[in-house]
Amino acid sequence: MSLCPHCQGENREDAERCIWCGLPLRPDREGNAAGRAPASDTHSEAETSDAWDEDPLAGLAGLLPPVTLPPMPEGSRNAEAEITEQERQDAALFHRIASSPPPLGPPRQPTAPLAAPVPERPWRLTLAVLIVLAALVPIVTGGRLDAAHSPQPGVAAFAAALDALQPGDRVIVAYDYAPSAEAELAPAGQAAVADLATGSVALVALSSRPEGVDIARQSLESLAVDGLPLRYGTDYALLGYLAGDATGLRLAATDLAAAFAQTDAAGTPLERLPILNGLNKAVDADAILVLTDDANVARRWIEQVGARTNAPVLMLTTAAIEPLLIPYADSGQLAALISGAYGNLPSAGASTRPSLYSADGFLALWIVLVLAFVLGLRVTGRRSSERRP
Amino acid sequence: MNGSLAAGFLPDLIGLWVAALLTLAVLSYVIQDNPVFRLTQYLFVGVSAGYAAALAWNHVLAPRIALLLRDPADAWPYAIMLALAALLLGRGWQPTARLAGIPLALLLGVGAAVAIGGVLRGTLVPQMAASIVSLAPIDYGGGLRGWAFALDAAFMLLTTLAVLAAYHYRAGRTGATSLWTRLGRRVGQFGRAMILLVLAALLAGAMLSFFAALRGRFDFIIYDWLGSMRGLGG
Repeated sequence: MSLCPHCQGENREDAERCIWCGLPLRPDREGNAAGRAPASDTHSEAETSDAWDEDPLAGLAGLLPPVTLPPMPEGSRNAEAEITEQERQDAALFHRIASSPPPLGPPRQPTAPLAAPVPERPWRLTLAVLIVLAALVPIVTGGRLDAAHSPQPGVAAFAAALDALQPGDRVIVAYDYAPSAEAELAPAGQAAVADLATGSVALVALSSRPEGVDIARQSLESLAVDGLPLRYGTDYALLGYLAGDATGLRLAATDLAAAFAQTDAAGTPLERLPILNGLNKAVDADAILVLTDDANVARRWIEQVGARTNAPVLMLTTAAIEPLLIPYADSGQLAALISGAYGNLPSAGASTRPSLYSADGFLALWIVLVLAFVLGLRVTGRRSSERRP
Repeated sequence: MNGSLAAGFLPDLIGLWVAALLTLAVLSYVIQDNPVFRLTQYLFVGVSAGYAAALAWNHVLAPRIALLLRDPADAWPYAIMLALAALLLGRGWQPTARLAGIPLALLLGVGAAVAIGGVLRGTLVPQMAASIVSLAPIDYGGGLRGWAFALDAAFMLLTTLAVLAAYHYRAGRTGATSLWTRLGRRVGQFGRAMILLVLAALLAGAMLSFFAALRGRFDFIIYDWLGSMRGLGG
């Protein structure tokens, strides 16, 4: 171990230069003293730098133990290590990119996700109050526009399909909607069921949704309240809840008894119900009436039952899902499709029960929505112009 | 008021008031989110879940178990159903958790097979057949009416192709593009516009449905609830 006379760093015995400060450990051939930079080193820093640039490894021979290099690949032994001009330019470019400082621009703002502008609270309250007033308008107007309202095209097809049924025919009625859709579906649904019962058409009710069973029970019981002389088991029956979604419907299409465990909603064995004599499959019914607020349920009825029967499938739906089912009505898979929101407006005036169900309310809603749309556009446009620099 | 009338009248009256107060609690959300609305919301969720569970027992499980006990020779397939249901319950315990995969696999497999078969038979094939229509006015009776129907059919065909083109994805390419690529992009944009139009129609329909529900609740409050109070007052 030898000490560097310049920096006192420890070095190997056979080292010629200090590994700490780089100065020679022994006098060189030109007579420069150990621990002193060569003559050129003392002149100027620039010259020193130039000297190092010429051969930075000069004098370091023997500093590290000898290493046996692995043999070069066969193909590269005769390869000439020539650096082309293009490679020099690429290297220079890389050097410039790597050594240049990063651009110090303003920090980028995170992009906010697109969101619909929410109106401020006074606007929301005003809109809510206007919609409430629109719903209450028929109290004042008394439904004067109902007579002028022309029925939907589907209403005529719906009525024609109901009229085509003969006394003694059996119709499967599916109450597949939630209580939240009762205001929309119950009036037209009840009118259709009452029409069928008046025409001595037998009703076989069921539901593939849990909530629908109680709705079906109330609907059928209200027929008796209306004074129709109906007998359970002969004129109508409630089979109950049909579990299993598409699989359950598929089973009902081919075997009603298996789908309902051979009992109705009250636990009566199905073989004791005369209404089901000869009606072992849902596809054997003379018509299928589906009342639903769910597009998936509607599609399941069409796909699992409607596609396997020649009986007409009539559908009464909410306005929310009606556009999704129009293609099935256009293709003839549905004999009739009407929306409960405004489908039975012509019969609204005929009801003796007081109700706000009227074309006047829909007209008022339309006016409110147009007003909100125009005002919304105006407010949005003004805000955009205020934000613009 | 006799006893039987009171027996039917009182529950109806209580039900009417509970329904009216819950309706008002839900409508109070218009003003502001509040604890009464929250309570009503949780009540609805809880009651719905409880009702569905009770119904599943009464209408699905109990009749099948009764059938199995009454006539095991004929109703033996229900024993398999119950065994599979029991395996599903094993999912909650680590040593038997793997067994729950059997009924789940059966459920998914049968469900998928039934659904795919139904979609093919009830939607895909009939809808494709319905979209193959004549574009010749003469097939619709000729004249102005025939032309109107033919234009309608042409528009349907174009819209169908445009919506299909809207779902055609390809890697972005810089530089010059071919005429077909540019045309495909334009048709796809038209298809997306048509999809937006359908969404707008669905939103409009939903608005009508909500309005009908609101109208129904006002019917209930004004004519049933307030009407009953007027009746009580004589």
